[in-house]
Amino acid sequence: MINLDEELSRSLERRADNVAVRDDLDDILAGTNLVRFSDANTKPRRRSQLVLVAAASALLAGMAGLMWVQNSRSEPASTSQQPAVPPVDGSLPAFSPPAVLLSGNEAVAGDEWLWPTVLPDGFEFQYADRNNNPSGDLKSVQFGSTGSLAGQLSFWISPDTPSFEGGQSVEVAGRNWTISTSAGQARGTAAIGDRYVDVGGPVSQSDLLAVIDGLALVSEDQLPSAPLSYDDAMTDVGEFDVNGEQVVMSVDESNGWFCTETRTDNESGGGCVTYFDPAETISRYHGFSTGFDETTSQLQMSTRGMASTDVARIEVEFINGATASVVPRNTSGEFSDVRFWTVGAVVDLQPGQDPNGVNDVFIEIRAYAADGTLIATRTSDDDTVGQ
Amino acid sequence: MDPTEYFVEGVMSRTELVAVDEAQPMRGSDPPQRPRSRIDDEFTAFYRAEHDGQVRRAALLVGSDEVANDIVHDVLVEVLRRWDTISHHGSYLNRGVLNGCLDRVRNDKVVAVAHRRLAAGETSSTDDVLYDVIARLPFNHRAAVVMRFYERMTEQEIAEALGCKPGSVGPWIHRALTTMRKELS
Repeated sequence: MINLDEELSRSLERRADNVAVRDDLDDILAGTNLVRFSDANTKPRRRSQLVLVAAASALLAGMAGLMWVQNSRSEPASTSQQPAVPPVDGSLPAFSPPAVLLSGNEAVAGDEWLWPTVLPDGFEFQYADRNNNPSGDLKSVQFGSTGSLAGQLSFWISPDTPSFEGGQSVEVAGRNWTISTSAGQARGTAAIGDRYVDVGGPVSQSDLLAVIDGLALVSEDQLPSAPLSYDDAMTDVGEFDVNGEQVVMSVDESNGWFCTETRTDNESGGGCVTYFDPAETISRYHGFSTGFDETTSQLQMSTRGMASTDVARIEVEFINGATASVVPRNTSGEFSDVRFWTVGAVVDLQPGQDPNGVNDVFIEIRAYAADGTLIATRTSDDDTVGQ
Repeated sequence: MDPTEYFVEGVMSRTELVAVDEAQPMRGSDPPQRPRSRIDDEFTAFYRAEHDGQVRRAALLVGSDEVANDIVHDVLVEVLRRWDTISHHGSYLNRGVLNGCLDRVRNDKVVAVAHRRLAAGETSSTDDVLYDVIARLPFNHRAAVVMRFYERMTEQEIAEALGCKPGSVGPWIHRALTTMRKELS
């Protein structure tokens, strides 16, 4: 029987001691990635499809934003240091179901999803997804730019308390919300019945207040596309041989977004969401290290992705010189214009290389046509899933 | 092949680029250096005091060193950009890094595999099992556990760091430990 408290401390300290800490000071002083957080905020706004609801929402949001700013002036917290911004120039998203505004609800039903009727420009519906939690479903609706996981504005319904309860308490549409801002992001959380709603993304605080003011609840069949899921709803698309081990790849798709998973007899990995446009030829990829053998100093690598139908073979050049190839397939009869692939390799760890710090699984992925012509490549510097 | 306790997918890394930059300095003349400013000096001192600890904490929360480095990097860029308008740099950095970790965990599901291997009768170290259980805790519980048992912070300090009510921390840790004991029994 272990003493959990002591073992926890020792175990976490061991792990922390082995973290590969990168010295980024010079990069930061030089301004690297200076604009990453502000991309969504700097897009020009358009005024289109304005309706009275949006105008009223903007007005209310402006008032709420003013209240917030006034409150902030007397608060020393970091959230009070955000510059004031003008009220949202809101526009309705393309999809506008017969929504029930959240403000009139005291509870969230199990099949309901959070939906914005007011959005800052630059955001479009991407996908909805559902995570099965023991305490209940964690459901989100994601808005952003086409195909990009960066700068998403997220709308969550959760059975668990929000991670952070700090921030300014603001009443919006008759409900108390906790509003916080940091690093170009704004976030609002509130309790509704036995659920919690959580809205956040790269928007200004006043835009967030306008979005919150226009929040609605919709049923699942009112969503523009069915939610992505990571469970039994996934479709097997092929079996692949990875390092002598049979791996089954399965997929769920909605609105051009895919959730992919690979599994073997002993383990499974998956859950990443990615967008695939067949015109890309090769998808953004999922790459990861699946194990390290201390006795041989070898790392096991694996990666998977999608390809358009004109790709006959995928070759992956892993780090440290290992290569492997695979024929993309789709045995499901669904997703007619997409093929799927997964491949792995065992690579030798180089002297001085920290197995915990190796996350660049491969150097390049190459797609070949049936006649052997190289038709596309993606490198580890390309846009990756999760950025 | 020893199993890893869990893995995080879709990891972006600048490791290779940094390594190349360090190993192969630019040929020819160096780019012109802008003069160091007061802000540079103040930020450098702040960076030296905060950076490593934030990266280690973030790594424990997201399960990836490289992702942790990237999250801290991005928030520090923002801290520097707003240096003169932020009054509490430490709080800003703290909140930004925690939010970055939460966003990362939400976007890339941390997949725990050790418990499956254990269920299959395979052996694993206590560390493996603990990391696996920690990785499957709700994020706020995980953060509270890391701050309490790694950073040895008080519940009041954890509440301030997480921006939550002090009364929330104790129940989070209690529930986390209860879950962990159940999983480990």
